[in-house]
Amino acid sequence: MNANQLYSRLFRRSQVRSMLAIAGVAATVLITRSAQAAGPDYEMALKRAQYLLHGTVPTDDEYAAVGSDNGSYKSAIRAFLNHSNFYSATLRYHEILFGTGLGDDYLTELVRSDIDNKTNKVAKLSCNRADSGDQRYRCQWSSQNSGRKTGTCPQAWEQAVTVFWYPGMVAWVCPEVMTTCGTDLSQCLIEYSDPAAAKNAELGTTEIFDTHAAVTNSLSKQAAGLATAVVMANYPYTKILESGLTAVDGAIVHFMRQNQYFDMTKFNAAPGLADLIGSIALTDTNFRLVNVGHDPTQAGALSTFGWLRRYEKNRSRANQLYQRLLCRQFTSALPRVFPADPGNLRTTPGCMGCHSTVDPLADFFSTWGEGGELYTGAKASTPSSFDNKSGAGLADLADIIRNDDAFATCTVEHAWGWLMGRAFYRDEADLRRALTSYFVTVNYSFKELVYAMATHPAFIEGSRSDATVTDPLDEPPLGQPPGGNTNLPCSKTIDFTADIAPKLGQCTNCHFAGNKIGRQDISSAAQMKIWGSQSVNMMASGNMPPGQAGPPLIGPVWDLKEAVRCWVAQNP
Amino acid sequence: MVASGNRQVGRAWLRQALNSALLAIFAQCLSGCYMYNFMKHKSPTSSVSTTFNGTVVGQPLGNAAGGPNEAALAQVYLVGTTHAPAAVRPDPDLFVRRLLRQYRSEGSAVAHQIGKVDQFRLLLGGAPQDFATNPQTTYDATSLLAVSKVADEVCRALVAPNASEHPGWSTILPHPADQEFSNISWMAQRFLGIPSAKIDPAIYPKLQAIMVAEEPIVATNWWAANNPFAKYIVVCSALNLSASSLYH
Repeated sequence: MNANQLYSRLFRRSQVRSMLAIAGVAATVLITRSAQAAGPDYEMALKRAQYLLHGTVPTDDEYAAVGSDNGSYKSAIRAFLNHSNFYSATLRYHEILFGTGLGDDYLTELVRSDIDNKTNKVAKLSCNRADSGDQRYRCQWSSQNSGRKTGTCPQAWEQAVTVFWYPGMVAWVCPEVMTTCGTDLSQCLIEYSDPAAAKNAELGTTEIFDTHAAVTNSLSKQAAGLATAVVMANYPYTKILESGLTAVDGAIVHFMRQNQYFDMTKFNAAPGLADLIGSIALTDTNFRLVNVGHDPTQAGALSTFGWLRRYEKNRSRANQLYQRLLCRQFTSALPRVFPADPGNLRTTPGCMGCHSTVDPLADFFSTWGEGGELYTGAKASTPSSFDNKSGAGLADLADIIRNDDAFATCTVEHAWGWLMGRAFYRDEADLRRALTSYFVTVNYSFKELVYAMATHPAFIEGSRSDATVTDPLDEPPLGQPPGGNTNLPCSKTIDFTADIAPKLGQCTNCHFAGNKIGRQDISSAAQMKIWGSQSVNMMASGNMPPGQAGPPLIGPVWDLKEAVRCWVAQNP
Repeated sequence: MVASGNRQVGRAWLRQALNSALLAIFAQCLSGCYMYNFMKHKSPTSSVSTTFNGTVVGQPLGNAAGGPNEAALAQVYLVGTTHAPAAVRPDPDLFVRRLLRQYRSEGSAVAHQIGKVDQFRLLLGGAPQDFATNPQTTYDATSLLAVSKVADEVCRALVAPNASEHPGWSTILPHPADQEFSNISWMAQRFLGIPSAKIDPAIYPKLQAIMVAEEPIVATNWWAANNPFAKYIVVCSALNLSASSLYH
């Protein structure tokens, strides 16, 4: 079908006329907007933030409440981050970040083909509301048995059950259905006649339910759900790679509790998981964190079914991890002629540029099978190394990654792209570093990172630029500690009176001359000569001044620490 | 006598306590139900789908991340940039759901409505099921075509729902159907997403003219019968197709 045919099919001539008129209206509105001058624009910032973080557009009242007041704007942003709508915004952000959608066929290896040793006897129900007559919502067998009309019975025999996917909803079933599927039908596979509607149905809110669609949808989102739950509960973002941590929602709990359609012995869930999920409601749409404890083969999002099944090979898992969590690309000039037998790719010229890194990285995944043999194809762990650090298994790999500054920097890059609509420019290196340091300072609070960006003058700017960044910032370097190298070169000569004394108010409330509370005096250059090194250590560890959340990476304490450190080095 | 008097006092106290308790329960129920309905009407997005339960099942996960650090944040604000933010186009996979969910509670009708336009999702620039490509972030003519069809469907569900397709829904328009200017200006604010004061009043008569021109054609549809709000569908579509509504 060409474009004209498609167009004709979709639209009547009258609509063409409307569209032309619409274009005129749209242009008028655009002219209004394009008059916007560069500079802070709280209305535009509110519209953008509210849509991205809350999923709605502001009303006149909401615009009026913010006005051009920075404090009111910040309060609005804080309210978005604390609202339940932030859950779905964050979930979507992580869906795109992980990219772990599953096609319908990805669960095939888990589907049972028999029950009671009888092939093709799988308990499937079709549920629909009658269009006419009594309009009862009925569930009847829909598998091969349906051809023989089993699962139907006289209306007088039908029994009412409360279905597990929609509390309060009554379905009418024949006695044999209730015997097989349980009093809430949770022991059978449910099919719905409209796949598109089933795919878009929210568990617990509608009679529409399709087991396969619901389970596929939830398993696809499991990595994103885990990260979202970590963010919503304000755990450190490094927990998204925590060994033994996973996340489940009602559909996954249903999937794991039944054994009629999916063969859970093939799923090989983490030990103890099945026992822990007993308390989670089958209608819970939101993901809940479940922590079974440390396991060397597990690493949070990296060991979810969605991640391992979507990225089928260990090399692709390693490659995706490198791109998505470290914002780094494997790029190397290809050899002019590929050797017929390259041998060991890690050492062969022309291949080793990438494979010397990606292959050892892939080895960390070796305790998991590949493709449809995810659980049956597992091998013994292989000692390996990445980023000059050794380990074996995903738990070790996760620790290497999250202890590298590239993980924090990459998270900042993703969040920046989400909110700003573009990547960092090369001349924004200081801004990326400042945001990364802040992210580490607040102990990897993703909510605080988003708050910092959404309230930053760069976000409040009213003008708009092209999304294509012609001169992008380099990818994050590997091998730096979290927060980057906090001991910068002392390139400037530090003067005590000019550079240190004005900042000392943070300490001299207690550490002043002649104090009676046993504190060392550090208010003068002479005293600082004695206590300078210890002061630097106390500040660098986050112990002083009191009330620090951790080692300072940016801010007044960091500024003072750096000034004293350089002054001590320059005045031995 | 004293014992009897005490019993009487006790009974009176008990009666009073019971009355108070019943009154409290009644009042709580009344206010609770009212609040629920109020929230449901005013803010469907917050009434459904749950509040997030942050507790961890199983072993504890350790300390929470930090809260805001105002001093450090002030330092971040000082690091500026000369580059503006880029325009952000709404996520094509979420556009319809977000539009509906601002006015409708989650349920069967929403699932059916989104399912109805699901076939256009990829044409709109949505991500395929396996996320082999990311959702489109740029705006082009192809997506405009698809949005037009989708906008018509969604607008019907918003401004002129009917009992067979959208059971239990009524129009979102706040004014009677004959108050055209009021309804159009309300829609302009909601769908363009900018303050009313910033909208050029010149667009209202233009939108009204489109509406009047299209009304006889719209009226021929079965779903428009006896529905005085059906004429507003074209205005709703026009506003949702405006680049401003997609511009953040």
